[in-house]
Amino acid sequence: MQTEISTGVMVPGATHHADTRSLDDTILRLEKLSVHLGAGDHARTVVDEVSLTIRAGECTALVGESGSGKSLTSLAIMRLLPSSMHVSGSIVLRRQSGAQVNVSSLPRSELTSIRGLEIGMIFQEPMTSLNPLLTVGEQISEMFMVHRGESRQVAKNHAEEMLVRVGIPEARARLAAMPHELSGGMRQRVMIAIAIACDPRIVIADEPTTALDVTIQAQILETLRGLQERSRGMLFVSHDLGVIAEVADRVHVMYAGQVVESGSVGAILLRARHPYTMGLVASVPRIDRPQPRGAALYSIPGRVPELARMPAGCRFHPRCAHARAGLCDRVVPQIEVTEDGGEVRCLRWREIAPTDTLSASQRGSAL
Amino acid sequence: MTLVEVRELHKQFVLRKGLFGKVSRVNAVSDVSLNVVQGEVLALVGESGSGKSTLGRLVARLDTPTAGEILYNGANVASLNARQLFAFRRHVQMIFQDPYASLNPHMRVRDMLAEPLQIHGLARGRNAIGARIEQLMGAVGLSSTLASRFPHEFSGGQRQRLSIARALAVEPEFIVADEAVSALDVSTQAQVVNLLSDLKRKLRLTVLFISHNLAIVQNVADRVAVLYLGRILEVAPTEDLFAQARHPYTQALLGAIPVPDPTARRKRIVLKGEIPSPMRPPSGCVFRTRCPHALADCARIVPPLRPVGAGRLAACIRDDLMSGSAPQAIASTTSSRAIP
Repeated sequence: MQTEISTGVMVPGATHHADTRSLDDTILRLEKLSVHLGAGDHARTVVDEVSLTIRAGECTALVGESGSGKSLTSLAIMRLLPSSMHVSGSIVLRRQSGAQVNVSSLPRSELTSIRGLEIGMIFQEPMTSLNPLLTVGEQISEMFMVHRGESRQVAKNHAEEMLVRVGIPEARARLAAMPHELSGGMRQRVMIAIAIACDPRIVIADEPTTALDVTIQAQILETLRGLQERSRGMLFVSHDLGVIAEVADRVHVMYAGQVVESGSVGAILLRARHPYTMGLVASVPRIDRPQPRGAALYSIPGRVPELARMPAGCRFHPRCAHARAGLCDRVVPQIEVTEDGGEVRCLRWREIAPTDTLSASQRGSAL
Repeated sequence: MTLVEVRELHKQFVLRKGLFGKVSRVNAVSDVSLNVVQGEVLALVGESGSGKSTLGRLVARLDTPTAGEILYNGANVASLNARQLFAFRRHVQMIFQDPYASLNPHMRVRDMLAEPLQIHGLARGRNAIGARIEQLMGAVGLSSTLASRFPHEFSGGQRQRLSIARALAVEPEFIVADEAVSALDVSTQAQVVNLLSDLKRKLRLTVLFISHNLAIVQNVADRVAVLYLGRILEVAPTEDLFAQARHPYTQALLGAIPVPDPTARRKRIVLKGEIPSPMRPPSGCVFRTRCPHALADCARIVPPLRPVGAGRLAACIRDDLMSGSAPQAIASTTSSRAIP
């Protein structure tokens, strides 16, 4: 079932009234969140004024290539950035109690009440994010003991229930397993169990299937989709547009630390407006739309700029086929709202027809 | 013409837990027979533990087989003497996945490209070597002004270009590319894939292209061999394989690849269960524990790789599935998510 709301975004499975939805469903809002590296003259902005909303029952995706700032954004929400970085802007979380807090200004001592309880996190590589010296059962039980004050025995029973919920067979026996005894897919299921143990309303998943084989990825994506029941909101960070198409409702595309475009998953993948998004979508070789063999794959010319040498004007202009001298290399584009509720950071977006990405990819590299 | 002939190849690794610990054996490659035809790009695809990298390393003689043989231009690679091996190294080069690990961090680009030229006596004298380095860097799209830099001064895509330049320095005829573009971002990946395709055409290379990325394989390969737990389950010309995969594993593998189109409602087979440990592969058909079509016999019979159509081979005892005339009866679950 889909509900059309005023911004033109279709929300799968939404049971809310259109008029109250935008008010009631927001669980987390990033308002001009920036991440700065270093201080003084050497300070660099690695994430630049990212604004986005995570809503109940909805999956918001952050997509971009290495160095685009997508992972830093998700770490900032969890206050997991290294101490060499600091944050400006706000991270407004509506707690389950209804109270609003700014996570970026919470004292460190209060973070325990956010992490795991309000926001769960799933990382890319479960081998490095699970404790190699504790059993799976101990690591899940810990969530219940720390956050809920449960006894070891009660927590253990709950841990077993969690393993069942994330699809691990022989859950009772697996409680005693060490992380290295499990396969990559099973370890990722354990990560998911820990992330959702205390039933947080938000789950952040940072490249959760990138390290997995494709047949296992399909299984984990099914499990992750199931997490959005109970009106949980999800922030899904990925570089893989195929995975994004499977899970996301709304997509924010990041380039060189900025969101350059956002919109519904259909708008971004099928009717992109920003030249970078168009190029990114066209660069993906696809088994559903095979090209003649040996035909050149489309690729965006040039490469991602270095932090210390960010181009003036639009950060994408040196690689952009639509860039106009005197404009794109001078004027810094601001986010503009499109008629279908998307956002685009491009000075020329109104002149550039939203491309059907199929024709873009078939043009090959002749763009 | 067959350039490489792999015959009943086996590779077993022996693992020991601790000094006196239990010995376990992994059959990384089991009974693999395969030909590589001169001038073709043959792709090896499969998931972790499928043995595709081990097979590539065996063919490049970076490892020696436990049993079976590899013939390169008719000569058994395992029994090459020192002089023959030297010549073999000139003809066969490898490109690895991780350009951060496969380039010597202490060597300038110039030196790492000059080394193979000097060893093989392909260019003598400063000027000749310099000219060849300039030519090699040009061939992979790098400016020769970067020749005095170290690997860390390059981006991932540029480093992979350097790896390619280094492999090409000795004018090889056969390249084993092991996940050569897997570590790269999508826009860079396309650039390097295009470069490899161009070079292959210009230099008439034969390529063994090892990859888990089937969309790229579809773009570059002439033929595809699908591996699972050390065994080849299917071999077919690329178009045929993608148009109609015969083996249930290939079908599942293709079906599991997400495509960047939220409206695509593809037939999706989500395979149950895990990839079994290569230390304890299932009896009979290695895929049977996850196969939606498995019969009782599948646990007893190791299915031979057999012809199932023009230029196609598959290892499955289900004649009804292999004939190609039967519809692809698949336990499929059509994705039913609402598309925003």
